[in-house]
Amino acid sequence: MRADDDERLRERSRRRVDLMRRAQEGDAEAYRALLHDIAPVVARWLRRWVADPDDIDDLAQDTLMTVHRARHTYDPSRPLEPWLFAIARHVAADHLQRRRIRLARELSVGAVPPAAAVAEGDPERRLEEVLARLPARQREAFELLKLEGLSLEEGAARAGTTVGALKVRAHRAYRAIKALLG
Amino acid sequence: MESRDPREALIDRLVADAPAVRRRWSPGRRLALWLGLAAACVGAVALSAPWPLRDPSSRPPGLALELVLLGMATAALAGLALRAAVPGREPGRWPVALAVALAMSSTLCWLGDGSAHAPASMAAFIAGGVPCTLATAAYALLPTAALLWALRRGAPLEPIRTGVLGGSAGLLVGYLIMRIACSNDDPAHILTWHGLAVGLGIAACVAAGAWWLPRWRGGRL
Repeated sequence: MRADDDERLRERSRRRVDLMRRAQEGDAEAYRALLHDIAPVVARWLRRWVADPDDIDDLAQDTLMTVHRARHTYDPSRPLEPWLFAIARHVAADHLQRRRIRLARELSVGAVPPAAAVAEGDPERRLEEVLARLPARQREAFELLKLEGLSLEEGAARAGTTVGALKVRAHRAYRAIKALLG
Repeated sequence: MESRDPREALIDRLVADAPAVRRRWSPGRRLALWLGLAAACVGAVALSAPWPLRDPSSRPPGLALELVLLGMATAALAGLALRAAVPGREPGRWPVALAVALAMSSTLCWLGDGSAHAPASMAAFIAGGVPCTLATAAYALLPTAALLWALRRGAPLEPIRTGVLGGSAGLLVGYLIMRIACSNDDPAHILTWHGLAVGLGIAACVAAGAWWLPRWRGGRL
């Protein structure tokens, strides 16, 4: 059974190589078939890194555009997947980095709330203020699990750590938030 | 009005804009070509240098080993840069660290060989050094430009890293040429003036990596 699956995967991989080779030679139909074949694969792969379905759609399209612009660098004597996933990984990493910068900026802006907001005890602003004071790893654990709603496994994969380590970070973050919110 | 699936619309656009493309040569083949160019630059200078500079007895004993180490580091860095311009073949940290260590180890050949001597004055030190900085940069110009051009024709996903790798390889060619063409083997002179050209050149390659190399992704479809 497993051998059958492996053979099917190898056959699919060989087919992709052939389609890409023909696409490089200007065969539009082969290119269309290839893009239809890899688009869902890329989206599935991106789901491991990004939780928001809208973001996944955008990133999958970015990946296809990058594949299009880089197609001259593909060497048909090698499997397509490492080339394709390197591009997808780069697109995802780029997105996550931009998102992290944006979030940090928003938090730093929120860390100095207007006096009125503090006086009124605006809970959202207070949470932002408290998050900004957490160590980066604890803040990341809290954001992944509570703000983005990822599972422990997904969160650990995104943070590049183990489930156990992410649990510990999140627990520390909860305790710190509780203490800071009084 | 019926709205189309954006992914389908994008695939239609990509297929409509997909003429045949010429496949890039493999990194190994392009490396061989570039090394040929670099060797021609080094050879031209070495053969035209005055005899005392080519006479092994008049140069530090470790120079031959230093040149070999520099040549190996240059080839390694250029190979890594060319691989970095192909998605999925980007080098990891260890090969890069090894290539840098190889380049650094070349300095060990002259740091302890007793060639150091204090310059007559600061003015003499500067007057003797500035032409070397300019010459190092000039000798590095062609190999660096050729390598950056080759990288730009690929698809570097990490353009700054790729630019630094390529720039380092090109600048090492200039540095290597100047180790042959410059008669001053004083470590302070080499570190300050030859090293300055390499440092400034790498800084320029960071800028090229940030600004010029990512342009393969630009343009409207």
